Amino acid sequence: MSVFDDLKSAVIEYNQNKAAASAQTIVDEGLDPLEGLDAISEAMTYVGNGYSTGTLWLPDLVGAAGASQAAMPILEEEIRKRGQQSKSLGTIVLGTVAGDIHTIGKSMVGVLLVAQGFRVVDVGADTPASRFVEAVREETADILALSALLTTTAPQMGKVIDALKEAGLRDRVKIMVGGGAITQEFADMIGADGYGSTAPGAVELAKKMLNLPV
Amino acid sequence: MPARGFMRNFRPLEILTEEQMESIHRGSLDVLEHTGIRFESEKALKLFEKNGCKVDFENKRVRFPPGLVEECLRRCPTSFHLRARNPKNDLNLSANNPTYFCVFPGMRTVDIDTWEPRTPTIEENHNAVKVLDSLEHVHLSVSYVPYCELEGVAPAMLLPTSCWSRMKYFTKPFRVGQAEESWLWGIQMAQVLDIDVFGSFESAPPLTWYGDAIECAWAHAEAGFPIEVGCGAVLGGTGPATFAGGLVASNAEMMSGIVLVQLLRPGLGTIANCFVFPQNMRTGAPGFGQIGISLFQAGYTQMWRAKYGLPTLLGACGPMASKLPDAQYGYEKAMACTIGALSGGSIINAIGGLHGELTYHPVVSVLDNDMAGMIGRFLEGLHVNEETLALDLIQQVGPIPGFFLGESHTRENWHKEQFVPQVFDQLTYTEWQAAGKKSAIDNAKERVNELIANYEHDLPEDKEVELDRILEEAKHYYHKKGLM
Repeated sequence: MSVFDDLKSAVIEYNQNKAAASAQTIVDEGLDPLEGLDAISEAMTYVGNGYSTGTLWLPDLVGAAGASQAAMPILEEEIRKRGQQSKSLGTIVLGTVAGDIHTIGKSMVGVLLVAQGFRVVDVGADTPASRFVEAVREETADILALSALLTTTAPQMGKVIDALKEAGLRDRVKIMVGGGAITQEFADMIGADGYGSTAPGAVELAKKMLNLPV
Repeated sequence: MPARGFMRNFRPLEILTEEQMESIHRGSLDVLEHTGIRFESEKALKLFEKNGCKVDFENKRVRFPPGLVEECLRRCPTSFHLRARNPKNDLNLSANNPTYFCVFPGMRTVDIDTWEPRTPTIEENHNAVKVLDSLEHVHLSVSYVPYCELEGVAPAMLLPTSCWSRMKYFTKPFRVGQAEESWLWGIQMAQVLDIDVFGSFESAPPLTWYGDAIECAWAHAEAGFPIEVGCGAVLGGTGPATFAGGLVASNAEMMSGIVLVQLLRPGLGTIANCFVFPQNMRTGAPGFGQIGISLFQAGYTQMWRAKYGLPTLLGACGPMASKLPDAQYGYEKAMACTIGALSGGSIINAIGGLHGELTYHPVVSVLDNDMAGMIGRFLEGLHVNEETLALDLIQQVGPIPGFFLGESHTRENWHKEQFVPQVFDQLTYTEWQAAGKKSAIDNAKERVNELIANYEHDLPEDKEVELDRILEEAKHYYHKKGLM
């Protein structure tokens, strides 16, 4: 079994330590880190498909995401050092807005996006608008995906969009919104580019936003 | 390795005190000793007389000495094994654990859109049996499952044909019926397949056993197959209106049947079936779906489990008053089956039938299968140990932003704790809308089609030929008797 197989199985087994170790081995042995990302992507596709067909569940999605996130920074650092470009469908910054600590929906979307081949930068929960702006700038994000579960925190999405306008970044990024408190009407009102009501729906929306085949 | 069933992990519900049970028990012995039981069978009367009973041959009335009754109750095994066509479906029937779920019939099928009843075809019977064989929480069935009326089949051939269909497509244990000598064919077919069946031996309340029931029990005892002794009073009609009086009379009938069985074959496996209903005082029919059924069955189960030590079959749990799987159906069936299971019933008669024993549909069996799984999960109880207490994990995760979803403990344990239904809708509201607003019935219809399409028929051809031959023999037999 190659180290790439080890990395793939580490993600499928939700083993963060093994995933990180495999990624480090790839770097230490001078192997292609892009191939490492492909292995992670295959594993995530397997887990994502399992979730969609009902054979795997939320804990499996989050477990696999945890393992892939243990490995990816190691490989991405190496890709940067080599001056390579990772082959992703696009970069998506993803997070839950300020004052809202709910993460399950956001994590599900993130995992499915990674499974489809997107590069996802998850900035976590209770994220202030300034952090979203910073991440969009630093990561050269193609899409900003905002999540809120509560009606009391949903208005923060509008504040993030205002902050992007002030930073002169609004036109450089597509914005999608989702979560229990969000509706299409709300999305239109705050000037978002799209609304996803389900995690698979968010993936489809991301592809449409970037003119990718659905 | 037999089917595991569900292991109840806590004390069962007990609604009678020791004193109350003793009163009912003494009452039954008094009925047996002084009122007596009518047996429409000369050979049975002679057997009773030979064993110390007072027999009035003219009125076919038998009076039992209490000592004989209690001795025969003691002879009944507390547990025994039933061999199925697939050994993984063998059953360990016991007075205590496990709990199994049973299929009961409807006379006819229903149109799944209009709920109008109609006579099913033999093919529909076969397909319904295939669905039952595939459902994970169906463990056994009674004798005229799923349908008691089949298109093109003469009445005398209904039970043999039903039995033949199950012999072919149901790899789990089932009962052989007592009507119209149908056991002649059921026992032969069981011997061809080298499986166990259990015989039906059901009383005619009040306090009477007819010839066909006695002959069925006799044949099964001679063949060495276990027997299900059943009572079926309609309280206020063929039994006292009071539940305690109903228990006295029903238990007396049961005990008299058990004496016959244990005299014929001491130590033979015996199941105590309760098919007692309060009478619907508007229509005169059995009061299907009533909470009184559960009260009666709870007392019955406690006595037959705890006092007499026999496996029980709670037959009255399943038949409902509702004519379609609506809210009433859900309330009636779930309550009766849950209470029955909590009372410690060995077999819960739950699956597939709709109104009374008049209608049945495989879609309903799929719905009931999920209900059985829910009840079964409850029976398995709360497990408290180092792993489940999760003290180290709670310490490690701590307060917010701590989160348990990504922990390996969650992945390893959530499946053991939660029951996930096959067809009950568990989607979020938006997912449900996006998926077409499907109900559990819609999901169950799809599952029925999947189960039928994926069914693998594995009966060897020579056995099929033998089963077909026995069915033909039955046809000739009934033709000669002028019943066809």
